[in-house]
Amino acid sequence: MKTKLCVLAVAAVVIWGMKRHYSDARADDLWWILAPTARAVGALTGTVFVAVPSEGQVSHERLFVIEKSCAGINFLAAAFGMLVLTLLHRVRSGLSGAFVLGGSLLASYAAALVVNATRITLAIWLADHPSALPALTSAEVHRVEGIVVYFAGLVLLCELARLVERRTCPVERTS
Amino acid sequence: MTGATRPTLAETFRRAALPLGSYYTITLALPMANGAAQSGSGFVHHAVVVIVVPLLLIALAYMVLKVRSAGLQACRAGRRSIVVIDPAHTACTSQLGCRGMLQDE
Repeated sequence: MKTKLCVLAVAAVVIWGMKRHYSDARADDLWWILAPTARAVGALTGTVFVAVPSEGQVSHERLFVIEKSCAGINFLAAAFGMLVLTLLHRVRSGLSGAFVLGGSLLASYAAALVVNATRITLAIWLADHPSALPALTSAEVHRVEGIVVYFAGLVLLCELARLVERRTCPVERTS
Repeated sequence: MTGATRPTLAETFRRAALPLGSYYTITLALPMANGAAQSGSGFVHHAVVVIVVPLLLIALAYMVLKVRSAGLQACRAGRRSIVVIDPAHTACTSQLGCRGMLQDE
């Protein structure tokens, strides 16, 4: 129980640190997530992004910027917290706690790249097809699209984690 | 929530509770704790959209799951009735994907 509380406390500090880093950071400081996201979007759409200091990743061809607010740090933090809670029952020692924290961090980073690249690819498509949702302004479309993709990404990640849980320790968890 | 049982709306919401809680915590609770709510109606409008859209998505997922499980149950019921009426027909309808549906008609 004590170890689990420690893991939860460390997770809370990591999430606070992510949010803190995000609020203080410039686009250049977020290269560790913006650059791979831009590469993934480039692979999906054929768009070339270049790093522009203090702007982010820019596609001059499509007039599209992957800026700080597109970094997906909120998704990363939400996914990390969710995975730690999903895997918390596995924590029995300091070592297993470290594995849960490290595994959750890596998995949430990978998921953030995939989900964020999907969201930006969809945003590029919607920007090219403004008549797809004529009832909404482009800002509203962008907002709703972000919520739908991020929340669906969290649900899918949670289901994937539960599936892995059932496959790896089917006896411990029956639900 | 498998194909064998029909999911209830409450069960679907319960299953989505962890992602929903995580999402609301990061997008609403933490900004509110940092004083975002004092920024006025802009945040309130944003918060309403952030709250409503995931709930609509869960309701949509529930409807999709319900239709899917109803289809599966209809398939199974159809398959059972074929076995009783004419077991030989099950093999020749396997290419239809949903075995037995046409044989019931």
